[in-house]
Amino acid sequence: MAYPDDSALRGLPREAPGEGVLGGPLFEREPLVTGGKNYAQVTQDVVRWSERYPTRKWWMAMGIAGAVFTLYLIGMFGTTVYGTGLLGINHPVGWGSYIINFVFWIGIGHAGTLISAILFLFRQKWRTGINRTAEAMTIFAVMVAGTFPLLHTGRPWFAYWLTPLPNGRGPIWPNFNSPLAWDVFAVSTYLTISLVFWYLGLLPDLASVRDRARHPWRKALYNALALGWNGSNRAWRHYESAYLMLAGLSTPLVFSVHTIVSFDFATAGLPGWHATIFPPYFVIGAIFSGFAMVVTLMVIMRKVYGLESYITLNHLEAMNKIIMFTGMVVGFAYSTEFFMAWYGGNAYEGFIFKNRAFGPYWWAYWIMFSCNAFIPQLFWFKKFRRSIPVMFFVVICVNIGMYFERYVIVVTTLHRDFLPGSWGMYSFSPFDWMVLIGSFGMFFTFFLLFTRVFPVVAISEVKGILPASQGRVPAAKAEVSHG
Amino acid sequence: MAEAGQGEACATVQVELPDGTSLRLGRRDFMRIGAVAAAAAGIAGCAPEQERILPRVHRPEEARPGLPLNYATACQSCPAGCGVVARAREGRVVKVEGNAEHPVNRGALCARGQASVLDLYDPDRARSSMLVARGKAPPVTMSPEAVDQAVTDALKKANGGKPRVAVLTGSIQGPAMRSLLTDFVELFASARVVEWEPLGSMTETIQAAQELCYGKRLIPQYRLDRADVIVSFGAEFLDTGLSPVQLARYFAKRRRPEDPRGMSLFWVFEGRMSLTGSNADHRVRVRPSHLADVAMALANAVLVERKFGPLAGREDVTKPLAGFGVDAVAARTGVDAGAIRAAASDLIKHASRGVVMGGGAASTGPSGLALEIAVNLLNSALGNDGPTVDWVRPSMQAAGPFGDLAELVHELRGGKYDALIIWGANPVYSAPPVLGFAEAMAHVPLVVSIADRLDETSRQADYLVAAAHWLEAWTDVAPLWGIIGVGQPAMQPVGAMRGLGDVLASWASLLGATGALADATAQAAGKDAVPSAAYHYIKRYWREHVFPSAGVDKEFEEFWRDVLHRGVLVPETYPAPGAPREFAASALALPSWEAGKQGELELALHAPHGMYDGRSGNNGWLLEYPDPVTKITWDAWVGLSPRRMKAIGLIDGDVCEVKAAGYSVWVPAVSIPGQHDDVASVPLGFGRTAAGVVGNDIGANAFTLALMTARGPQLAGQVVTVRKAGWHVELAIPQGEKTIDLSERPLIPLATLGEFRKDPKAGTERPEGDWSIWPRHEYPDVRWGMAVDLSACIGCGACTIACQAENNIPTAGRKGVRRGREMHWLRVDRYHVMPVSPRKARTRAELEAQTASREKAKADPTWLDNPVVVAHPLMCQHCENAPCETVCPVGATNHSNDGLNVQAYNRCVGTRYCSNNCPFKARRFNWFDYSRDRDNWFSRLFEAEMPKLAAMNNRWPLQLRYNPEVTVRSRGVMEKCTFCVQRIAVGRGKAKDENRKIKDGDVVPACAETCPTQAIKFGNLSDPTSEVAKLRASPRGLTMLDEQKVGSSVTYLTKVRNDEG
Repeated sequence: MAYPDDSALRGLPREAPGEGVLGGPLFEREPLVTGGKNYAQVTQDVVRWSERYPTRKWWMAMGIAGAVFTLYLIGMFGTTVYGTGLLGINHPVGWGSYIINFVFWIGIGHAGTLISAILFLFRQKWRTGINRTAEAMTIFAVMVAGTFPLLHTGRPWFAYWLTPLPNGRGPIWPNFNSPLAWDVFAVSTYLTISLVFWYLGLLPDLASVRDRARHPWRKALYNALALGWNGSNRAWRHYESAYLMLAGLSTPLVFSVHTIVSFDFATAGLPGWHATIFPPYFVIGAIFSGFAMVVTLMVIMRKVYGLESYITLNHLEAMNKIIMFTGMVVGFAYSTEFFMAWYGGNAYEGFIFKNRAFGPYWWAYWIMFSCNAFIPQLFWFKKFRRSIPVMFFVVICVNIGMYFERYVIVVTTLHRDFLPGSWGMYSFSPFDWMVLIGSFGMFFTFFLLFTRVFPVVAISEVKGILPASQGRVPAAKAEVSHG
Repeated sequence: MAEAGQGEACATVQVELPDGTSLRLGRRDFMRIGAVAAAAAGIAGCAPEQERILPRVHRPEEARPGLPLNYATACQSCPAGCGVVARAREGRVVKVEGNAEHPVNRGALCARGQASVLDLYDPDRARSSMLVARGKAPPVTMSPEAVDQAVTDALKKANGGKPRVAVLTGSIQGPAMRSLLTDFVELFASARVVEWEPLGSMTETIQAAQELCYGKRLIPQYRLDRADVIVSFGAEFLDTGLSPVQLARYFAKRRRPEDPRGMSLFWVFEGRMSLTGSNADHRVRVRPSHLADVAMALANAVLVERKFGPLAGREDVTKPLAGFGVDAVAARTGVDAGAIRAAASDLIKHASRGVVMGGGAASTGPSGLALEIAVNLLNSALGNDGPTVDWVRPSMQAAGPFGDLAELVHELRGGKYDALIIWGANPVYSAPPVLGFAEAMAHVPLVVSIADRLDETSRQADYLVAAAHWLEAWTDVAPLWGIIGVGQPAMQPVGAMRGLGDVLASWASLLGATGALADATAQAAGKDAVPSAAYHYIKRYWREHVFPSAGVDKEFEEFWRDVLHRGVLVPETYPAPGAPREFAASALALPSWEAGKQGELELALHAPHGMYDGRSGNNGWLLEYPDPVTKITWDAWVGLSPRRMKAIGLIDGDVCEVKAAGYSVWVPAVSIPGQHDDVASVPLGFGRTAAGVVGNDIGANAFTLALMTARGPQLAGQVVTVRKAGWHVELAIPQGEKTIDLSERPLIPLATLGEFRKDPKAGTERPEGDWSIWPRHEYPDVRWGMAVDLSACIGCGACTIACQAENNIPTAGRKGVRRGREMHWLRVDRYHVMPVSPRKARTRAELEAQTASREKAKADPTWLDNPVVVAHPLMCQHCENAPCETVCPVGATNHSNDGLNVQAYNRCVGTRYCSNNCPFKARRFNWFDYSRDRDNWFSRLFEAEMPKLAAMNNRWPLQLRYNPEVTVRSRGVMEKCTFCVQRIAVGRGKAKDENRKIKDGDVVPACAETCPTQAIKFGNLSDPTSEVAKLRASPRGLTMLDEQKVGSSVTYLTKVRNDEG
């Protein structure tokens, strides 16, 4: 059976009556790549974007992203030079948009490693179409995220004090009781491992780009980037074992990073933060938001870069299923929090949750709840799971909902804690808006540069899952390659 | 060490380095290094810039750099005349404290007294005299000599050499200063001195009523410390009336439930919600114009219904009361007759041990005199006159013979004067505009204003003579009978300013005076003498008039030195309290008055704690000082009852037009639970137009709403209309929620006296915490702790400002407070307590009852008509297991071994995690660089309020106010209450020097020192004999959030309300 494009896919195994081993029906999985691609076509489809002059669309997107990025730079400049007073934070809400953005972007950064490491270990081959982009997304999201905790401090130029500091009088240690100190290690480890993992996966593809390059500078550049990859058997063997080891290393990080980020809240003594549910709840929430962001990016990218054959509706549906599942877990966590607040019988905690849902920030709470717990329920219907407009709507909702989840956790807990006299309200200042919007500019600037420079699909891995590599030859094999 | 080495004939020099190691140098090496060092020092000397650390040429001989010098002097921020001790560092006053030996305030001081230091260094003060020329041209700076010459020349020429001079002053209490002024005006052919206090009309009525009833004008001293029952008719003695610090101290003496003499019972009848009223045991809402009726009804209840006391038998006394039957008045005024009878029976029960007080703004209205007469009648009838209403030693505070400003205005208009000299008054701002003072000034050829800035009045003068602050000039005060204090300057003026005495003496000598004034000037000019003529004049006056009658067995010089040292002369013996005076029934021929119709709004103006009458209008500390009743900062307001707000359709912050007698002000409305439904209260002192960058155009000037009566401005009782203006402003209120439900948040211990008698622990029952897995901290020697007696705390907030002054706390500005950026390390939360039982519900039925009463209170907030008010001072609790300490990633906040939660500013990177995790939210973050002037066009693009922040915090010479013992924080660091660690260091050093353990009194933090009611105690919790350890062990003691295992070092003692008659 031929699969020229997505329209032929149904998301279910193909049933071929009478083709089974014993003459019964044969259930065959639909191919992960459509269009009957051969190796050369795969390389051509992916690499061509970095070999041609950027398209008009790219320039437009880059122009917008760059302009928005400028907002971020101005906002960060203002708060760094004149003080965090330019933001909306106050007493008692000492953390505001910067921490919300930090947790949001770190959460986004989760899907990449999950896809590349955990799905790799579980032999989920459909990951190959999306893992490169998802990992890139992770790197950039963590980079964006990392700037916030540094710059939210009152004196960012001393942010390096959060690391152990060797000096002439002996090392000055950070306070290891503080989850913020753990954060520094967790996030920097995560960024490092993700970066190495991503880069390692890039090596064969960079070599492909190098091999196709005509301009000597280009050749030299990619040669350097490919670290002398020669495609030898030895190289492949080392590469694959290194890749496997890194996948093993990154898997616990998927859990550790957001667990530790959740400790920022969970180890504090405040009602609404001080809860043992936080680590799993944060990890699942992060995966949830990360997948939503991956789908957001993929839906656009497969269209713009003509990658529909590699990122098929089956891929998107698989991710949508994960989104639906994690969305239900998140919704369950929300309900559990309420239950525990009631069951625990602590008046302060009971108040906090009542206040979340029905206090002055009720709108934030219900945006969160409906976007994260209700709207993904649309994915119970296969039609919706496979409909691009519907899934785009849902994942945008999830992105918004997950932003508000962090807003609710940070703001509604702080704004009314133990003493009524110290209660207060929080709202964004223009700088909060600039930096929030600008952080998307920063992310997309990096992302657009990435799509220009690096192969956006893992060529070597996709080649590995082409039917030809799987030992069965579809009808399309007869076609002559022009690669 | 180096010098010692040189002096001795040894071959080597040993230099000890700070880390304990040492350097050994040969003689030649030493000489070599010494020569290089000397050369280097010489090079440094060539540098073009030189910073003068001590700006004074004449250093006081006792001054040592690094050590404070204390000068006893007298506060003149209001007429109460408290004694203060000014602490000068390196020649500059950095802090004032109450003078512990002064009988008025006994070491305490109010917020305004504390904030007066900031006025000294106000960047908008006139630091030199000016030719103002009635504001027709920009002012021209003049030297003191030039302005003296110009003024005296003009005086000499006026009216053919026979100038007719009017002098308008603020209250002058001191006998020497008064004599100096008299000597000065004697130089002129005709002269008139008018003393004018914008709030003088309140005390005028008391004096007038005293004269009518007893034949002598005076203000008695109300001995609240001797009173078992206090009944106040709008007397705002804990707010700003009379002598708030003294009366608060007296009041609090009898408010502790353990007191063997019993706790006093406090009845308040008042219209607006005042701080006084919020401390009442029984509060009855009466509109100001009805207070006289109710007071007469109370007299009726005592004398006619109960026939109590000797006066009850006198027909001439009881007959005039006939029209004031309790039930008739109750029906007329809507006041509960039962409350009047209950108050009467309380008064009778404690006859001769009670006080009835009047004297607030209500006494300035048409019925004011009747109110005061009724108060006198009650005190006489009950035998309080004498024992508790001390007329033998009357108060001289605010008791000035206030002249008639209206008459002066009339005469000025008629061209009766060639010159007008104004000092200590700002009538263009503070006189009711119906008087037309500004216009009258135009009729005088020469107007000279001796003022500290180009204020509203000085702007329309010919000359502004830069006046010294009271901390820079010689003066004297006499606040109470027999008590005279000398106000001595604690520092040289910040610029070319002079005190009133010096200015007048200088003019007198130029005008060719002879006598005491000329002598004083001559003495001041002498070599090596004190260069102040006022000093010599006052000293001479004291030698001639005070010393002989003081009856001390000393030389005058020694006596004088003692007085200067102590700041006050207190008589050796006091006369015994007088017998009750004869009450003149003729006073009961009351003038008629018209009581306001029910449902019609009437005005209640009041002098708020911060702004008072507006004299410190540019003081950022006071502008940011939360009003104790409304907690509003940086604005004036019109206060209405919640019901009235609803009826007009207002929410807090809706701007209203408040119109009375043809004048309007536009101020935001705020609902004040406890306010009478027919009363609109507006604070005075706001709306300055020429106060300075900080204070200009904050709020509106409510003096414009005052009417003019024979006894001065009428501040309450006139009909007023409040109309929604249609726009809204965000009020700058630092406190979040003002209502507390103690059954849900058992944070404040609260009980009634009856409950306390049954169980002293009543109100402190709290959920038991679990066991802790952590070992407790050990504090073998010292653990610092604090105890706050909520029964004594009246909520005035003086501690907040004392803390701000002591600890170099910046001012965040109006926008800052709106955004929740206030920096006060010590805040006073003020709660209305919901009528839900704070007892822990143990059965389902109890829980249901609790829930039901909570729902009822929420649905029908009539309990807010007369709410239970609790003031809750909150500072860093210095927790044993401080939540802030564990979460700081850089370890900038730590636990010290004496129990302090300390903050290393230099290590702080500003993650604000500590503040988030603080369950008390006691920490404060430096959002901007408050200590550096970063105001420029570029920064204003980012933050529009930069110019104001600069003018409040860091514009020259504000830097001089900094307490050098406390770090000035940079931006981006967290700060908080340190328990005044700098004072702890001094106390510890002192104890170590004397080789003993720390004891009570070695360390007194700024808040505890200034507290008028001594509600805050501080000391060593590890010493079981210390006062604070005893208070912590008291059954009334509660440490907050024990169930969170924080282990607070601050104990709050139950607020006990007296419910027993």
